[in-house]
Amino acid sequence: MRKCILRIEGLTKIYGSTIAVVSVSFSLYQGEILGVVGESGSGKSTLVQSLYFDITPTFGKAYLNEEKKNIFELNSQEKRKLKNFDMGMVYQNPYLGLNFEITAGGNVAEKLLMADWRNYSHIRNRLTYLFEKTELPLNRMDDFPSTLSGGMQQRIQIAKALANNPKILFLDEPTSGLDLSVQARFLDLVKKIQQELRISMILVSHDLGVIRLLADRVLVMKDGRIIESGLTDQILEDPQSSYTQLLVNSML
Amino acid sequence: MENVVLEVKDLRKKFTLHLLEEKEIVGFQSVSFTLKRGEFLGIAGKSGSGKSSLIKCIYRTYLSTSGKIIFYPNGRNSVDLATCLDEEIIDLRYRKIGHVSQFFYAIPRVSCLDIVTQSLVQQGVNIDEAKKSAKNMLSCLLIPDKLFDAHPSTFSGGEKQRVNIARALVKEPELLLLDEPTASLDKVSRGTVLEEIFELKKKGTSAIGVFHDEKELRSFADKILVMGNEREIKVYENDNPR
Ligand SMILES: Nc1ncnc2c1ncn2[C@@H]1O[C@H](COP(=O)(O)OP(=O)(O)OP(=O)(O)O)[C@@H](O)[C@H]1O
Ligand SMILES: [Mg+2]
Repeated sequence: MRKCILRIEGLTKIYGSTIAVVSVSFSLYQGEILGVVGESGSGKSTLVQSLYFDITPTFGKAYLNEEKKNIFELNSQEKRKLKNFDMGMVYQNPYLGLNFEITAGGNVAEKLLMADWRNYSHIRNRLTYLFEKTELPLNRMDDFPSTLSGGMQQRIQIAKALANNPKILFLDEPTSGLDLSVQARFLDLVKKIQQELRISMILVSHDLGVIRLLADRVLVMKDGRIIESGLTDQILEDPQSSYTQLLVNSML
Repeated sequence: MENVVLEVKDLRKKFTLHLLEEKEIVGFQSVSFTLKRGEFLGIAGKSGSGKSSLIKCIYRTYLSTSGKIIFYPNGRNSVDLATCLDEEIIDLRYRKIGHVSQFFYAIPRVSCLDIVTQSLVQQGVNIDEAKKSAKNMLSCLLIPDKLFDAHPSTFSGGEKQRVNIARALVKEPELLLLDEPTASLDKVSRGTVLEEIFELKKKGTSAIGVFHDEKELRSFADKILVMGNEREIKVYENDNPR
């Protein structure tokens, strides 16, 4: 059996009188892509942003690599370290994931600097590698994100996310703002990266087509809860709950 | 029990359609059988009698409603495919169980050679070796070299199906599940596919296969399971297997 990379127990997030995520538990295994589907407002983004320490959960525990320490209880320095070394995130909105005041290359370099890279030529080499890996033209490295296409902005987010060889990559609706052909190319890139680097990923999408293409397993969320989970083909061909049946029916 | 590969006990499948006023549809009623190592079980029965549903329950594309599917993989503990963790199924699919579906879903933008190669890489074979075996398998199934880099969405029905078959056979799985694998093939490639399947039998693969064609079913099966209503379901030995 594959190793458990991340285990979540009873994750809950309450904002005043709204409950965004209710008592969510699941495991993420080595090298797999775990899909999370559900309508907007179902708590998908709150879930991944909590795991990436952008949001502080109200209750819940998370464990990395079968270790005993609940990572939500780490101090802020330890959290920052995990975030920089072990995790990467691609946000739906590039304005959340990128700094538009600095160049494309600068955005990626920033993540390297946070992980204590200091040697200029090593950083330059790493940037070249990451740009090539994410199919970004090298001659756009010194351009500002605002001058790049939506697809390129998302690829810079990936390059940045991969900078320090993370063990886990979070993708929150990474293609929802893109044209279909650009979307397809981006999804192919994600697949290639997963196959070559064996990184575990959590992919949030409201689009079952995207999930079908990439995910091994799926969690279905509604009103902040996981209402169903299973192998991707099983969720698509034999959905159990009425909500998932509706979701699958409306896909075709 | 040493040479038993699969034990299906009182397995049932029923679908509940929540969107159609909780309508219930029977996939199949109580099915029980035992499959020994190297044995081939053929499945017969009318259209709608639950043949595909049974194959899908064993592969876990469908969740069984009740009953057990005990799999005894080589060198591992036995596991109930009806109830074990999804993670475990993924691992077994990668390493031990091959599946040819009745209808082929071509992964967009992946070449025919890559599809078959990937199947071996998942099993842990290194990429160069995987590529070599994949080419070999495709050639055995009469896919011309010039199609290796092409994408199956442009292939004929029969070519698509042979890629689908190659992907399952190349792994030499311990358990092979076949749902009408030869339905869209011409006579020549049918023969070739069956030959390749029997090559695996010699190496110890056990298989369960649905065949529409009576003659093909008889040439494939050691035992035959007939699907139907509760009283019609039965298993019998094939008197003159191949
Ligand atoms: N995903 C599903 N959801 C609801 N009902 C289903 C589903 N799959 C199969 N069924 C129903 O289960 C019954 C058995 O279907 P199944 O496809 O297993 O038959 P089959 O014996 O393979 O038929 P054929 O020979 O035509 O391929 C049918 O009534 C079918 O409508
Ligand atoms: Mg069928």
